[in-house]
Amino acid sequence: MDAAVTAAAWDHVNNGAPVDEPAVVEAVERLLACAYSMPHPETGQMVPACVQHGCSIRSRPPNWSRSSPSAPSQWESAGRRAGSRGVNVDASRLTPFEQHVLPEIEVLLRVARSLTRNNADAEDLVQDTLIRAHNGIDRFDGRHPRAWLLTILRNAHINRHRRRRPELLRDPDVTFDRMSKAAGPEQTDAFVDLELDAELIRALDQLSQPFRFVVELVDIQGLSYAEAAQVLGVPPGTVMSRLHRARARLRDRLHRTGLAPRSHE
Amino acid sequence: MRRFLRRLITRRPVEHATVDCVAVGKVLQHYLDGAADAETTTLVAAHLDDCLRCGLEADTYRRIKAALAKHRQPPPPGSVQRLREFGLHLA
Repeated sequence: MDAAVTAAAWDHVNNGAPVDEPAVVEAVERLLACAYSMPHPETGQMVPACVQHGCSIRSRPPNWSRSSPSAPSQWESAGRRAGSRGVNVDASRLTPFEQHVLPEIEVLLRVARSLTRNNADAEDLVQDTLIRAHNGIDRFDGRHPRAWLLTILRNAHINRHRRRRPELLRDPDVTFDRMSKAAGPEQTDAFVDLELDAELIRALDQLSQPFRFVVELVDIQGLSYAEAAQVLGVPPGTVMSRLHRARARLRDRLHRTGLAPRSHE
Repeated sequence: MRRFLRRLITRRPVEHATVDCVAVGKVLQHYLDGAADAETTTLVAAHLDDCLRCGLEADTYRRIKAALAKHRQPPPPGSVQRLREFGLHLA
C-alpha cells in the first residue's frame, strides 16, 4: 500500500475522517478485512501484522506518537477476533511460535487436506504438526517458516499411516452412486472423468515423495513454481523438472489404462 | 530450449516459423502453465492447432491439470478457527 493511502486509511479507521478516494476506500476495506494483528512496535496499538496489510513505521498515521498512543480502535476487536492476547502485549512478548507458526495454519490445513483428502484427518494432522512445531520451535532459526512447517507436516503425515485409500473410489457401489448424480447426456463423460480422477489419484499416490509433493503443491494447491521451490528448499528449475516428469508419469498411466488417447502411435 | 526455438525463429519470418513436435514437447508444459515467453507461446499455439499428435498430448495434460485442480478447496473456516485457538493454547 502507498504510504499516503495507508495514512489516510488509518485516519479513517482511527478518527473517522471522511474518505473519498477509491484507493483509500479500498485500503480501508483491506485493513478491516485483515484477521492478523499484533502490537505496533512503537505505539503498542494493534496493527495488521500480515505482509499484505503490514503498516511500516514510515506509513503510520501522522497522529501517532510514542508518548501518546492513539485511543483503542477497531484493531482491538480485530486482534481479539484473530485470537491475539490483547492490545497491551509488547511486540517482544510475541513468542516465535505465535510469530512464525500461527499465520501458516491455513496453508498447513490446505496442504494437509491435499495429503489426506479428508477434513477431519487434515485437522488432526495439522494439530499434530502444531504440537511438533511447538516442541521444536527452539531449534528453528526463523527462516522460511512455511518450508519448515510443511516438512514437519509431511513427516507427521508419514507417521500417522492414516491416508484415505483411493481404492474406495473404485468401489462399484460408490461409483454407481456418484454416477447417478451426474446429469443428462453427459453421463459417459462424467463416468470417464470419474475414472480419470480415480486413476490420477491412484497414480499420484504411487509417485515418489519428491514428485508427488510438487504436484500437490503446484497443481492441487495452486502454488507457483517459486513458492513450491521455497517450500521444498530446492531451486525453481528443480520444481519444474520434477513437476514435468511427474505429470508425464501421470499421463503415461492414463495412456496405459486407456483413459487418454495415445498421441505417439 | 529457448535458444533452439529462437534459432528456428530467426531462420524464417515468425508468421511462417514452425517447430517440430520434439521441440514443442519440451516446452509444452511451460506453455500450458503460462510460463512460456510470448514468442514460444505463439509458436506452440500455432503448432498445436495444426498437429493432431501434439494437440492430443496438450489435451491430456490439460485434463490432468483440471482434474488435479478440482481437489483444491479452501479449508473450512471452523477448522482454521479451532486450530488457531489450539495454537494459541499451546503458545
